[in-house]
Amino acid sequence: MKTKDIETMPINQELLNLIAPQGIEIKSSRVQMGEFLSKIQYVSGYPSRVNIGWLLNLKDIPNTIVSLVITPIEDVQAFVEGVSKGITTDKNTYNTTQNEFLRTQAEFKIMSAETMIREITIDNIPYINLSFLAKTNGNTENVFTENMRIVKNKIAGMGLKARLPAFQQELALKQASPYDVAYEKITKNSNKQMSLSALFNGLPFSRKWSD
Amino acid sequence: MKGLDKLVKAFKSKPTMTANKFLNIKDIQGNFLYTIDGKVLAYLKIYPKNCKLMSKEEQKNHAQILTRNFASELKPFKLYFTNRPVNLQRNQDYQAELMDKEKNATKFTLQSKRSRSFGNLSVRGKALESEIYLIVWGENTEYIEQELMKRLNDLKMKFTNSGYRTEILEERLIIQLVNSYTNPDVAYIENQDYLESPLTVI
Repeated sequence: MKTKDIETMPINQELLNLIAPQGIEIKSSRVQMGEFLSKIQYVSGYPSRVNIGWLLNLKDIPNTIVSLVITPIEDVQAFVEGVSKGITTDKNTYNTTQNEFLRTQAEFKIMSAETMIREITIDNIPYINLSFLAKTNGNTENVFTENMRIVKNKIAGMGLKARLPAFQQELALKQASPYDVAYEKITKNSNKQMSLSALFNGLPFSRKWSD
Repeated sequence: MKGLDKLVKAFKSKPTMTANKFLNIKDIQGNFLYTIDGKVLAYLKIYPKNCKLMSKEEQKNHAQILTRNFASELKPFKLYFTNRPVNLQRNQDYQAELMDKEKNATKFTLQSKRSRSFGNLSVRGKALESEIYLIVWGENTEYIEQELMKRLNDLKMKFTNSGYRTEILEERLIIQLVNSYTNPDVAYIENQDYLESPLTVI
């Protein structure tokens, strides 16, 4: 189809009447779609180390839809330069500070940055930005609360931190959906830089064996 | 009274939008979903496989193969994970049939345990089938559909090389997928033949 044809294509109301929910009400921290209550959370913090298969327990939660937006880092040169500058700063902190906590933190940051540079420049492993959203549903208030509890426990149990994009449930609802793309307002908070191998070590395409 | 006025004003000033408009979908045709804001989306269904049956070493190798195959992927994409309840009734009937025929007491006990575990899964709503989709998109340019199809075919090849079966979604399945998000309760019951003639009485 040509660009112009797509531009002039009419909105298919018949289709929309079929797939649109009975109504959508967006609140500050939740969404009501038809009969269903939903809440969309994003993962804001990850542990420093993850086990193989770390995504398995997170992607197959009942009544929860998980949406990952993966944006490969294109300007690798600039990314590596940024990480290198960070190493210099952290090395200065490490050598000068008397505070043991800051010293340990700087040491850890240096090690992580060196791993990053080695993976990119020597092992040729690309780096990505990962935006992790989870939409949990429930048809009654009680079921919804129980489902939210399960999701929170699963996420926390994996050592991850989940946060609510408060007052941005509308954009989060769109980004989590299969019919829309990513939104900067959501990704700027939820993006986590990681290597592509860290993502695939989560075994995202594996079927869950059992509980 | 003033408070009530304020409340009425706030309610009136609240922007309202129809659910149809909110969805930002213009149409779904062929292998594509067209959005009102000028984007075109295409879908690839990935059939999962059970990596838990692999050893840790095999799992690591498998992740490495995926990383190597996807290293050349430079554009953003979305992975969408959903799970739908599976009807275990047929399986439970089959288990009951086996138990009826069984004369060996030990085998009967094992079958009864298996049947109970299926029953538990069914009752607790834990019998779920994992579904994975990869979504790619692009702005509405002249050859966007060809570009998206080429990209999907490349991705399909990468998944095949990593040992996965995939399927490029067509209109009916895209509608079903979107519907499973917007109407989770009716997604797999409702007939999707919306373009067919109206209801006929036999």
